[in-house]
Amino acid sequence: MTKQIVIDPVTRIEGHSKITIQIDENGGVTDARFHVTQYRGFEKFIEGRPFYEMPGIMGRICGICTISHMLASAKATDRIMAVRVPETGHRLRQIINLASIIQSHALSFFHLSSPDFLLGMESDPAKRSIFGLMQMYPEVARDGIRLRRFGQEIIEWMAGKRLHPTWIVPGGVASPLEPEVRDRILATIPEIYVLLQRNLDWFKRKMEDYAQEIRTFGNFPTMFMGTITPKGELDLYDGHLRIVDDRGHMVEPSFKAQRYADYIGEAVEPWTFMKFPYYKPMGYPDGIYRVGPLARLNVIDSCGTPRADQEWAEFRQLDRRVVLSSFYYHYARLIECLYAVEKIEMMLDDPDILGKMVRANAGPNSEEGVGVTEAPRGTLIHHYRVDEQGRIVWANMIVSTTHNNMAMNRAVQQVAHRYVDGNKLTEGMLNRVEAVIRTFDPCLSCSTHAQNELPIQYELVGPHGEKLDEVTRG
Amino acid sequence: MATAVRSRIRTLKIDGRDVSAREDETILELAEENGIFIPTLCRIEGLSLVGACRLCLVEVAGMNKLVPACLTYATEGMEVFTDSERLRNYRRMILELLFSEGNHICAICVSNGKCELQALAQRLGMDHVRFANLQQERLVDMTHERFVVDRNRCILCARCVRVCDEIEWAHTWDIKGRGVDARVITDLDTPWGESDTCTSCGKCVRVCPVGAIVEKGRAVGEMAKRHDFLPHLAKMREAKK
Amino acid sequence: MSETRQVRVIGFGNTLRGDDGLGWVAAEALQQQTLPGVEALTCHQLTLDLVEWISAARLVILIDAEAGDSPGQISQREVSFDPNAADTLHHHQSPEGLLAGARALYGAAPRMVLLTVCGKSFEFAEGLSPEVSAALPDLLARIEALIRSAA
Repeated sequence: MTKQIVIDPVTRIEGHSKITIQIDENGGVTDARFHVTQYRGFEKFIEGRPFYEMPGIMGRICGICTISHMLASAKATDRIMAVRVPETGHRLRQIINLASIIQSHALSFFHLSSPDFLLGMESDPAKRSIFGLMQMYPEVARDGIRLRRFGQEIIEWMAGKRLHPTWIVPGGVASPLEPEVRDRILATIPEIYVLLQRNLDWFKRKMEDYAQEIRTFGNFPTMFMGTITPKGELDLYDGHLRIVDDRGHMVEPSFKAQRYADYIGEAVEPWTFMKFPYYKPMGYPDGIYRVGPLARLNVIDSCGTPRADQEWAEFRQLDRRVVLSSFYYHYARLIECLYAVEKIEMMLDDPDILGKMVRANAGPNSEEGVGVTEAPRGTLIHHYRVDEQGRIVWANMIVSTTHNNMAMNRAVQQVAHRYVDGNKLTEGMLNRVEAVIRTFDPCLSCSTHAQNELPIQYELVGPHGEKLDEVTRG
Repeated sequence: MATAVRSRIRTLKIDGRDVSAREDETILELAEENGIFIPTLCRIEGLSLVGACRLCLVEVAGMNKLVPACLTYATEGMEVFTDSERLRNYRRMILELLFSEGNHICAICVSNGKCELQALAQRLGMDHVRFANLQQERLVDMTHERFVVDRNRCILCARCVRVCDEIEWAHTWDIKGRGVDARVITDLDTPWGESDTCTSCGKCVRVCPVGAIVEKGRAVGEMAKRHDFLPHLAKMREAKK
Repeated sequence: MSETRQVRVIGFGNTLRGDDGLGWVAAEALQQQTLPGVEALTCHQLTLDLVEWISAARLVILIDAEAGDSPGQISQREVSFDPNAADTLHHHQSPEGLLAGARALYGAAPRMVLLTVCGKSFEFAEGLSPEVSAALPDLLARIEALIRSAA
């Protein structure tokens, strides 16, 4: 005799999904699942296409993390060409990657999630959005708009176009950096430091109000995976992968990203289109790990930039060993923004950034190429095989959000158990279930527009399909 | 200086305008001279005419069927209509059929923004394809060292066949099969990279109106083409004959 | 000072939905004219990112198509300030939401006028219906009159 609660669609995330919560006869939660209801099929329809078309095609996977997909794809094609990207081209790619991470983190933190922290989980859903924020906390809303514009403008100035630019190409980038663009970016940076510091300050204070959420929002032991420099510093574009366990012990201190398949397996479940990656030596589902900002800050030995390192030191004090609560993804996002701005400034300050050699040309020289980069939401893997002519014969991608699939499902269960009473639905209860998903900032693709026109419905369905309770918004 | 050919003059009407033409002039040439737009894809200055794309179909008073303007010569008293609802519908339909036959996803194509098919679709208002895509499996041949032919983007205009035969005198390109099975091939349908006849001159790349025959390694929108070399070369060839 | 004549025009809609592309056509026509102190942009929806942009203006003109029974008919409406106008659940905003945002975030209170033309067809198509095309000169004349009034 069970009942089921369905939250469909999950709001203020990127893409289409629903959450179902199973309720027993006493109103207790027995299970909860996060279902991804959309299917794309990129891996299949690129078969037979020339390898060098991949960055252009793969960028279309998503309108928010276009840059990340283009970069992972371009890195895989670099490998197929067996070339080394010219140093300037390499750094220009790094800068645009950091800009992309900033604009994405700004969207996640300010537009999508800050209403939850500032207006409260229990607040009126009609007000609990960036527009509600505008009235109560205009400075925060303004900062969110500003920070997002900072990232987007760098992309637009460097790549010529804000959405789906074609500047990232196999072997490097299509054109060198104009001195005028460099100067324009550098001129805005001091303002962004001030902005980030201001928001870090209030968020850290605010975290004290959310002790309960911090305890229950995806707070459980898992491993963490992220990319590091040879010195063990944070790297968001290139480097080796590291996996640590829930106590911070090294599980895999450093392995080549190209060898991901030796370490990561993928399981499939019939009720969702999203796969479940797991750490191979431990098997499914024990090999659960998390990726993304929280994971990255958990695996590193330091950020490698002064301002971010100062924040990072505080971050690491939050928990005894590694930081386990997914609530802290939000905090990690702000620290990564700080790191990204510092890194962009450092690279732009080096006159070599204006070098003219930015692209290596070659045909196919290797049958296989893996490109791994850190997208805003975590490690992004593109893996292609080509025939002797350079036509794609096989492809595999593990998208950042996918790595977190197991963790997101477990987090939904945790929050549902803690907050949901199956006898009576409340806004605060259901919003927390959605809010825990938002901590991961999942990007299930970019086509939310049509879906958002629909009213959002929560239903509590009884054992015989009868509607026991209902909440409708929109 | 002036050539000795003295042709007789014809007078006729295009879209209600009185125009005069030489007897060896096609309706398409005449229309262009008079600033009247007729769409084409297969015709290119400097190569022979084949009437393959059917986009230049026009109406002639007294005739039930439509005629291709590129292959129809001006005659005395002729009345030609280049623009009507019927023609616009046909032209759009031809474009839709071309789009449904192959893989023409502009946004990710190397010729995006530089493609004659795309430009024409925009100009003629082809905003939708009403026919289901044929989903044909057509081979991309990347065996040539510098060039690639993607038959999924080929519209069978035969410009490559003609330029290779008439200007380069190599005749590497040909068309094999009929109807939806028609394909451009190199030599006897052997891989381009193994061709004995291909001189790798690249003229086929330059005249291809779409992203079908292109240089290797180009990213989205990077494949710009120019074929202003062609009338000049054609004249030289003519002189040699 | 031409700065004081700052006018920002937003033509919005979906160019793949027939007459819904009207805002784009009108805004692009204005871009061609390069009037001093006037900036025009096109977009699919009114989004939050626009709030900052309009805050610098004295006059904001929004151009949109609307559904109705008399295609080609132009309507003009002053958008009034309503602090509670923001639409919270959708990606995009109402004109009132933009105005509320400009006030709340940037302390700006530009005059905002919404010009709409009644569309005939919003089916999948590029290009405007004859009725809506015919209304364009009138629409542009109204926009220009508004711009002059802001001088």
